[in-house]
Amino acid sequence: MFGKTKRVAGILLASCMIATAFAGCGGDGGSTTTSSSGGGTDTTSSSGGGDSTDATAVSVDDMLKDADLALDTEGKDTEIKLKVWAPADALEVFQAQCDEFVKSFPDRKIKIEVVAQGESDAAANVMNDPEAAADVFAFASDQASNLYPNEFVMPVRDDFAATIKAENMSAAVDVVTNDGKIVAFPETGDNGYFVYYNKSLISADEIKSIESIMQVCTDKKKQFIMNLGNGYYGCVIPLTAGGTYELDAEGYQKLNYDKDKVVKTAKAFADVLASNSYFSSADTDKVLASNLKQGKALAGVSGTWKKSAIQAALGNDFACAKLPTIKIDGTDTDMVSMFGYKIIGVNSNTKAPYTAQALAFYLTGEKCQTERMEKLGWGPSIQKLVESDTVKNDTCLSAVYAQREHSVPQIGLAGSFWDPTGAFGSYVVEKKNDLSEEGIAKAYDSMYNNITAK
Amino acid sequence: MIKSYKTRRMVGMGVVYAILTILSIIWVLPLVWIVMTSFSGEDAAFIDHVIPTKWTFHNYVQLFTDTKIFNYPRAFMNTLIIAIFSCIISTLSVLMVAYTFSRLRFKARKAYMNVAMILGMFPGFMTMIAIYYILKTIGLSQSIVGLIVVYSAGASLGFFISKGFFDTVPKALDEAATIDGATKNQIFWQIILPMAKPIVVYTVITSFISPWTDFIMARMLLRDAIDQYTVALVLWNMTDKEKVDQFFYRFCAGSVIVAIPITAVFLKMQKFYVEGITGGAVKG
Amino acid sequence: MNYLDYMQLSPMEKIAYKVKSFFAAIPGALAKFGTFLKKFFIGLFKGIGNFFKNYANDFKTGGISTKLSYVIMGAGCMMCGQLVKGLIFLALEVGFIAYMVGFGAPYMAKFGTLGTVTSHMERVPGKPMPVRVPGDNSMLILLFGTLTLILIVIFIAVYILNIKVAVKCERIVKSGSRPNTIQEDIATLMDEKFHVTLLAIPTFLVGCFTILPLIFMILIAFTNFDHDHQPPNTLFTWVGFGNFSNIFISNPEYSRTFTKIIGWTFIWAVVATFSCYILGVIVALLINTKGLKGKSIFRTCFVLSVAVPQFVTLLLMAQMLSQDGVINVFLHNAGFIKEPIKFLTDQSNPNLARITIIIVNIWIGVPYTILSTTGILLNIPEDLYESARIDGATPVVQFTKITLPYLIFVTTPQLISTFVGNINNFNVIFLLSGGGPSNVNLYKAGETDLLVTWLYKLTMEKNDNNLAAAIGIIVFIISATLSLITFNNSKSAKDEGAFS
Repeated sequence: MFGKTKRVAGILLASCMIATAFAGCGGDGGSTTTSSSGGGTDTTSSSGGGDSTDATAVSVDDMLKDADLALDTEGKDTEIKLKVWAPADALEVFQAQCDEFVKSFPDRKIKIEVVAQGESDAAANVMNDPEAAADVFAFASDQASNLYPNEFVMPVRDDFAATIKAENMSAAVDVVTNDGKIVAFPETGDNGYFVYYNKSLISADEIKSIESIMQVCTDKKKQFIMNLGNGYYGCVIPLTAGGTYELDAEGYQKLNYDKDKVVKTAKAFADVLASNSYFSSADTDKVLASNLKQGKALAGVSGTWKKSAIQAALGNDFACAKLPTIKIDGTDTDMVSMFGYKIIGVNSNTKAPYTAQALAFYLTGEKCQTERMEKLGWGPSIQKLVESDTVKNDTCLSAVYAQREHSVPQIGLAGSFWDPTGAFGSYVVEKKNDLSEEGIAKAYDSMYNNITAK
Repeated sequence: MIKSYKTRRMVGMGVVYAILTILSIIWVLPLVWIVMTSFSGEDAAFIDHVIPTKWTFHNYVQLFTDTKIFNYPRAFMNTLIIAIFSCIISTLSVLMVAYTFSRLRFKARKAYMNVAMILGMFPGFMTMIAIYYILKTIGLSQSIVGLIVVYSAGASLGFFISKGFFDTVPKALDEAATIDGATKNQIFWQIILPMAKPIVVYTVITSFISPWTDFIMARMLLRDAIDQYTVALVLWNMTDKEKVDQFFYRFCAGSVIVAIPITAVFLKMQKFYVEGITGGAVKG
Repeated sequence: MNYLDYMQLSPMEKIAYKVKSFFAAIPGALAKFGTFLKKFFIGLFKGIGNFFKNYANDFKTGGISTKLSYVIMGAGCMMCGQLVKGLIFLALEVGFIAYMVGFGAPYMAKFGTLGTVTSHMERVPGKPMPVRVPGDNSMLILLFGTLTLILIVIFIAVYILNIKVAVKCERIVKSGSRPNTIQEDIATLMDEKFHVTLLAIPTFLVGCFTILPLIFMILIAFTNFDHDHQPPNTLFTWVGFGNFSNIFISNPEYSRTFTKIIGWTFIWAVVATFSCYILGVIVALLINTKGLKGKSIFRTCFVLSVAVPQFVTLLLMAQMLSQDGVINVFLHNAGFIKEPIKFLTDQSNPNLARITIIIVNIWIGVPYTILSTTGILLNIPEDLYESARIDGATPVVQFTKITLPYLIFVTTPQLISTFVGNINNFNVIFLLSGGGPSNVNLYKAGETDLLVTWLYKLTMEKNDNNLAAAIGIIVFIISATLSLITFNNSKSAKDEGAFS
């Protein structure tokens, strides 16, 4: 804080000086003296970072009981103020959970403010100004590649990390691991997409394969919407062909695609979708709820983030299913999707690292995840909860986790992945294009080269 | 002969009327559509017919009552406060600077004007980041006070139009007043300002409107300070692709509410506005 | 050549004249700019030379009060009876020293390297996790280093002023009269020095919020402040002209993107400027047709779109033009199309998006032209039209031979400023298409991005502040060159004289 007063004094002085230089005879005062130097002094740079020792796991309940373990000395003398970023529609739930956390430590002075901030913008905002950003913030796994490298998020305490490893789904643990260290807290295990459909128009059986879906669409003159022109959905084509992705040592994208298989799969997609005028590659985030509501569409691909809107639109006809199969070389093949996780990170520039870590640990614990599952319909990342009856009985969540079985986790992606993948997807479903195998192979090459370009 | 000239003229006028009517419709239609849509009672945002089948006032009610995600009324008040203060400060500073360069002669005058002109040629938001950190240093980032400061600080660089207008006010007036013993200070407030009503009104209008329409600077400075958001920022966030299907009708309603007062003021003051731009630009 | 001479030329000659005079003006403008620079630097060096000469001279010839002012600012004033003025000088000196010691000097010391101590995570033995150890913040060093530099320059100016004032005071006292009292000084500020009073606050504000940030951002163009070098976690440092050479030559991805974007920026600026201008003039003429009734109704219809805030109309247009927007719905229901047209997002046909944007821009720009040209149109001498009519000229001929040349002759400066404005037209592109449709061959840019929207994306989405700053400088050079040439060439330059 003292740094700030000094800066203010500096600016005041500056103002006075400018005015005087200009006028030759200036305003009054301006002699605020500043205290002696102190900011920006050198720090000892002996690195004691080291690797994590194998600590014993500690549960959320144990942590809550032991303030010294959880918070170290923070909040004993001076009040700790934390800012938490959560999506607007979950604000109340998060605030209640944070209040609960504060109540667990009656002898510490902690104040937590939850501020609305979309998970998709969180990373960019943290990187723009880490000091003004939230201490604890939620983000989606695709932003991990931006946040991890320059240590914008703070590595998780050893004892918490052990718990996270033990309790969460293994893919969720992979997503929060960087260089062998756990650097964030898995928050949800549901950030993938699946099919929403109107069950009065299409049956649960018919929704199982893309061929039958398109058949029903043609018969009933209704749309099926999947935004293949967007890399997030468009990657279904190479992934269904068995492709995977990773980052190389320098951080560039590496693709493990089998060209022949991808082209063949893309051809299969083109055959079913391109010539059918009831297939739409419109932006599902924007129009799916509207089009289902009006009966213009009978099904579409989107994720849990659209659940409440679509449920409201369809009412009793609301239903979900995993992605359909597609016939490739005569065999029905499951469509493979990209599957993401939502993560809670601790800002590495936080003033209260212990409290922030403890809060993040609490928010991603079993109790809070259950609460959010029940109140908001968010799918958990803790293995035990994934297998619970709540998930099985929820049409939306069971579709999510069914699709998770056929998915590639959303890690190891460079920024160059998305646009070319989307461009390939939109090429494949546009009937004006050359959709012969040669034509698709050409589009494939362009996608491959653009993604892997250095 | 006379008759054919008359018919030709009639036909000509007919054509002019037709063209103007069609063009007017094209220009007004989007505005009519947004007003119409703001009263739409449809359930879905993207519908397959142009004119809504159900009508309601609900969008406006919701805009002001459902403030959980977007607090429109607060944003409206914030913007009003910003607009009032930055309007006062920028009008004064623009007029002061314009008057100085138009009437007063001093050593560094030309150098000053050249610097001002050059500064105006840099793309404005190139400096956003630096401005953000300067405001952060003095503790004004993420607040509407900071926005007021930023909006009014740069305003004086736009003095050229007003200067052009002041140049057209006869200098004989000043000279007469000087002979009568008036100081420059008195001349500015008591003689020139009352004469320059059109340009004062023009400056007031433009500086009052700009906070309602800027969202880039507001977004950069306010960041997560949602309770400080301005109307433009709220409306812009409503058209975010993940929110637009839910908030499209409210976006229309919100836009109409912003547009009505500004349009009313503008139409009323149109004459001054035209005198402002043409006076400054042509005679400049 | 005056207007009447100009009128007698044939259309081709007129265009040739315009083009010729435009290019003919370039060397003149450059030469003028050159002389300006020459004058500026000669003046600067002469000034510095004079300063040192006077500095030594005044010290030698001055009395004790002047000599004292060389060390203690304001001493001269105080000793001659100007107590308040002297105290202000003294306070400034004390303040400046305190500022330098307490705040400025540490930043200045690191200005050359922009910091050497990297912030890092460090684990205290026995603790369960590493915590951040703060290091240098390159950005604050750059920002406050710049501020300190500016303040040093200002302080030197104040210091010189202090000596000048002291010398003057001493002379006045020696000659037996009395220097101004503080009340008299204030009175001068309301009259002879009124410009000082009027300009003080605006100058201060512009200094803090335009000049300081601008110098800061110009300096950023010479650093590697990009997505890999983000304070406070990592440092950045000086790289000289590296960013510029990356944009122009050495980084193929950047230079490919830059070439493509600058090309479209110019096409856009030309087409957007002239389409709005010509169509606006035609509509204005139609509205001004003699004997037309309801002029004000028509005019209001057009002006309405100026009155509604631009971002509202643009956001609205973007929604209307989207794949499921009302325009596609209308065309579909009317039976014109089967599949929706991707007006702004069709990757396979980016020209569609470009044309759409230009058309929307016409919708936005034409009313402005109507507003600003109506007055000028009414000023065109009526006898020109009369004689044309007697010669049997049709309205079209009258328009191309009389109206348009006259207008262009009068409004060239305005046209150029619109042109520069269009180069910087952020809102239309950003709110309509956001730069899209996307093009995977470009670096963080789409098919319709202008230099300024690219700059914005680089800053906000990619954190490549160094590239953004370099592009900002390039945009500035383009705008400044265009404006200088035309400004020097225009009527107002002859009245006022920019660089003379």
